[in-house]
Amino acid sequence: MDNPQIICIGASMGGLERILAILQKTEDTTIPILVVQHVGRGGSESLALALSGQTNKSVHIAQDKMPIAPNSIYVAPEDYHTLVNFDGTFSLDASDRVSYARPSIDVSFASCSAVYGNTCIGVLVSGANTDGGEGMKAIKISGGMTLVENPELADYPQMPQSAIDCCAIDYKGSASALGEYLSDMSKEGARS
Amino acid sequence: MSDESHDMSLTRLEANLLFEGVFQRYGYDFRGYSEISRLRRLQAMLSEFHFSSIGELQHYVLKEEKNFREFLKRITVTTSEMFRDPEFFKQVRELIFPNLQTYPSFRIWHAGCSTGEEVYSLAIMLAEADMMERATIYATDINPLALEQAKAGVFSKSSMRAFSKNYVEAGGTGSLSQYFHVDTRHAMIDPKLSSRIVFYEHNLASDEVFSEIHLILCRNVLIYFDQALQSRTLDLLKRSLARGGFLCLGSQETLQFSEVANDFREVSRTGRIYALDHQNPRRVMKQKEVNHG
Repeated sequence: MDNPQIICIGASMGGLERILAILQKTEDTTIPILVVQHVGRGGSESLALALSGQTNKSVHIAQDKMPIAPNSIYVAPEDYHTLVNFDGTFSLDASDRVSYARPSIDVSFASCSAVYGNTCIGVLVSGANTDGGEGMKAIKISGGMTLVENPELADYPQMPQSAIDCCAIDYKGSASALGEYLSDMSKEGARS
Repeated sequence: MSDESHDMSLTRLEANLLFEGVFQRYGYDFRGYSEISRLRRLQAMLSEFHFSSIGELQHYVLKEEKNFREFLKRITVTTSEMFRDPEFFKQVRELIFPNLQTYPSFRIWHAGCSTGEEVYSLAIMLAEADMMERATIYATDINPLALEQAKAGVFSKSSMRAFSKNYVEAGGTGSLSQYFHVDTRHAMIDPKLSSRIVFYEHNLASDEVFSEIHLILCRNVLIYFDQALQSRTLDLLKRSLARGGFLCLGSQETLQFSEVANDFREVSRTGRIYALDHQNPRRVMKQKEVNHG
């Protein structure tokens, strides 16, 4: 993939450990990362705090019209859907839950695929529902890249499995391996 | 241009044409709404109506007024709950009510009131604080269908349990059902709660200040506007406020990136409550990055 412009990681139950494992391996990539995890009240702030302790990158809770900057990690705020605008900023949406989820991973993935097309990378890890499968399909259709945690390794395999059932997957591995893969890809992108 | 980006470029063009058409034919101005936000609603309509393009949708909408009504039902976000974000309502009672009580009479404006849940939630709180008589409440929205629904004050009985839970968390002192007339499927707000409320159409893109307001709630409205309309709206809201008047935004909205930031002081970060404060022009709020102070 030339020049990936955004990495969107979707997670649910059991996700934090995986997200941290991925981020541990991607310290050297400057591609902006959006983390969408199903969280309850106060959850996005806790998640952002947990992530900020483990990275040198700046960590923000995505806010409406906030610019998406390199070398930054963004956490989707609870109780909103996080989308992306064509001008490189975030767009928040407070409409209905999608498959009982808000933030919905499908919504974020679909939005990233619409705006970033073949420069979008979607990553799906542990979770006990099927949110994210449709979104991964959208990413694939737009020419982006799809990575999933190996369901055999996930605490809650339904989510990564739903992606595998929905569309072609470019890479399947442990969370750590996903992180390494992302790191390698961004280096190649920088070279090309 | 790749097929995909060519398609997207066409989609964006067709969307712009549709909204221009709606404005010219029906007079409703959604042209300043966030592009991505509008596209999301349009795509849902394409699925629902089985249209294969926005051009097709445009023809359907412009052809007949009754089709436009269907469009109007779906184009603005009317998702709402009573006492949504209970913590916010609690803070309104604790931080704003004492101030309002110092006025012999005061005015509240729900800018973008949608189907009324927020309006009735605040009305209930005012009633419980014995402040209703002194209040004049303006509830406005661009969407006449949402306003009709808000005026009627009818909610599904099945939502009442979630509403009650929110009400209790917000510090409600009675029981939510005492404010409703309930039948098998619906719960209708007690008309006494509407006595101080005026509902009417107002478009934040084109309409102006209509009164001096002590408390403005504009929650989860700005996120659907583009940058320019957001700026216009914030300026309008600022000019509508009485000295020291309060502005309340949605739980993930902020004044921080806006031009009016310097005209306000932050009353509550968690509640997204601000007060007009010209005295302190340099009070710029900086959002702290999470990993360093």
